[in-house]
Amino acid sequence: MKTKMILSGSIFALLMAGSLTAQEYKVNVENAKNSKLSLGSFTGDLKIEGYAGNEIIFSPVSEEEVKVPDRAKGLKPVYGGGVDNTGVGLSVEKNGSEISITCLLPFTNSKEYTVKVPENMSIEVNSECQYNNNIYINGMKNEIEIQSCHSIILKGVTGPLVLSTIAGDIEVTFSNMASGKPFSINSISGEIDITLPANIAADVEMSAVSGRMYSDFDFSNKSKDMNQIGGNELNTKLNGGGAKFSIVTVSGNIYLRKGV
Amino acid sequence: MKCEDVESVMIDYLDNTLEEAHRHEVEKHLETCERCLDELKDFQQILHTVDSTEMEQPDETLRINFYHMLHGEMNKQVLQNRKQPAMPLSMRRSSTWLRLAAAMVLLLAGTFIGLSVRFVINRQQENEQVASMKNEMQEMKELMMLSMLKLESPSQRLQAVNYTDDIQAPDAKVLNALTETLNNDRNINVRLAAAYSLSKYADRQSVRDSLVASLSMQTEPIIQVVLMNILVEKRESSTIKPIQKIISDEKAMKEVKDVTQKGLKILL
Amino acid sequence: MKRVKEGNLAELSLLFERYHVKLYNFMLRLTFDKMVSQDLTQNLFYRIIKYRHTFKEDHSFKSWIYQLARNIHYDFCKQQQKDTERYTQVGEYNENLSEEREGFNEEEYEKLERAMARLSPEQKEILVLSRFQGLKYEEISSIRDLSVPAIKVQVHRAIRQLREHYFKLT
Repeated sequence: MKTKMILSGSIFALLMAGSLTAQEYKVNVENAKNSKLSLGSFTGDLKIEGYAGNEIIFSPVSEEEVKVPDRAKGLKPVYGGGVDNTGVGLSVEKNGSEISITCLLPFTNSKEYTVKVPENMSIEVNSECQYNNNIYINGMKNEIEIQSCHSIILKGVTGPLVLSTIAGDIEVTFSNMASGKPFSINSISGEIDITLPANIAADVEMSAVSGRMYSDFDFSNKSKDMNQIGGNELNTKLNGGGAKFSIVTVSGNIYLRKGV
Repeated sequence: MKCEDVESVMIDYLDNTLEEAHRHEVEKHLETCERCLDELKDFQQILHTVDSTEMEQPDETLRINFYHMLHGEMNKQVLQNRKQPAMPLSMRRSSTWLRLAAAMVLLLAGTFIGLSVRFVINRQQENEQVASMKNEMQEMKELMMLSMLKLESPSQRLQAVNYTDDIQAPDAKVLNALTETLNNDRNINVRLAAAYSLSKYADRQSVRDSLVASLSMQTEPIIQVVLMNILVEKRESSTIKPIQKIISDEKAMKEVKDVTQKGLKILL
Repeated sequence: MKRVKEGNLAELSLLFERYHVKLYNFMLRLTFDKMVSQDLTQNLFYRIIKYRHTFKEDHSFKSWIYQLARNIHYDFCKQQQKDTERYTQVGEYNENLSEEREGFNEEEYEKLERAMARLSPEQKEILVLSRFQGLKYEEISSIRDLSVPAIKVQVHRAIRQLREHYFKLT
């Protein structure tokens, strides 16, 4: 019974994702700095753009997807996973200072979403492996937490960052990196490529079990705390040291670049 | 009593802090003055609402940030104390005395002995002060760590785990909190950080036992890998069982299985 | 507090535990904003830590701490006047505060807040010190540097003003 509903739901989804016309869907945010945006179950690439406004704005990606078949006029799209209260295949819930947005599309329907988010919000993204979903974030100025399976590309962020992926690559460049806050970035088989500001004060701890580590920072004063079976570990203080910046990968490589 | 007199003592009257004689006069006035009676009733209502307003609780971050600041200041002070030979003012004076007394040793023999004893005691007090401050800092870090572990933000929970690195001799409470975090925190990075923190105490059998138990429960590949590495490095033989379990799991990732192979080679 | 001056910082944590809720509420009754109040309270304790050496031992710690609190609130109000696109002082009221209170006389409480928002900063302050914070007239006198009778008059006037606003609201 349930399978049947999901199947018909997916047909509807294919035909009617965003059954409204090319409208943006907006959510108002009162106190961005103390609010969190939580995103889950996105089936395709997720592109997040931080900006200096106070609304979360979803835009549908293509006009074509937004076409409503004649038969569906007067009907609403339905999904097995929840109630679409946006008209663009998403379910939005507000819980205190947390706004949760869940994508209701079945994982067979991979759809890309672009969202503009107030830059001071903190963000959490959860994405399991069945979703073929790379995450791109640009210009956010608060904490970002991502647990994913695929690639994570962050540009012009400040952090703190708590990132974890399985097979994807992680790339990070900062604008005004948050100092005095801990960072943690893990992957299993993906590459981790991070550009740190040259003057950042942090305790860097890098560990690659079977992968290799590369950097253009000067690591002359390092300490070895742990011997591992295979693999390397490097602990060092940059610019006198500070909060912990931890990078761990199993079989991927780590590239730690010195930025401006 | 006139209206304006009553007005000026109305609050005291309502608070029951007015002397008996004045109370009486006020009540007499109120018997005939409706305007004042109205005012009294209004005041009573307002004061009742005002006084029954409850105190709101600020959220936990206020305390955490305060202890953070305090911690920073304490660090500064410890550093300052270390830089100078940290002689309290009274001792500085007594060392001048000491020099003088040394020159007049015969005459001031008694004073000299008295001063040098004080010298020793001051040093001791100072060491005790530094030691007790260190204890206080330790307690504070523990407090901070335990409360921060309950926070919503994963970077703050990370910070909490990182604090344990500064705690010199963590007690069972701290280690249990770390184990709890390793097993139950909803964020992978935080759980991993807990694993690394616990690894520093892997010399203790109890810690190794918790890590082995945790390994049997873990499903995240990266944590499995790190835990295995820690336990194999310590040559913990009870790790063999959970490692074999992982090997027999078909769904386990290649990277994890590679580590299991190497691990078993060392342990067996 | 004397021991704090002498460098025993850990004692400050005792002071924090004893006063932080009260001081948070002091800020809250004046600004009606939880976030702002939290920031201001944090700032207050930062100043206590930083300026602990300036505390004069013959004073009461209570009046010192409230003086600091008043100064911080005053600075905040001045800053507010600069950012005029934010809310105005008189008349505006932040809904967040009473939204979360449960049960018991919610309407009355809300009315009270709105009426208080219409008072002048000085009147609000004296009311908060006297009624919400429960300070005695003598204590307020040493904070405000006014005589006890003068304070009583101010409190009275503030309540009269409050009464006017309060009973005008439905």
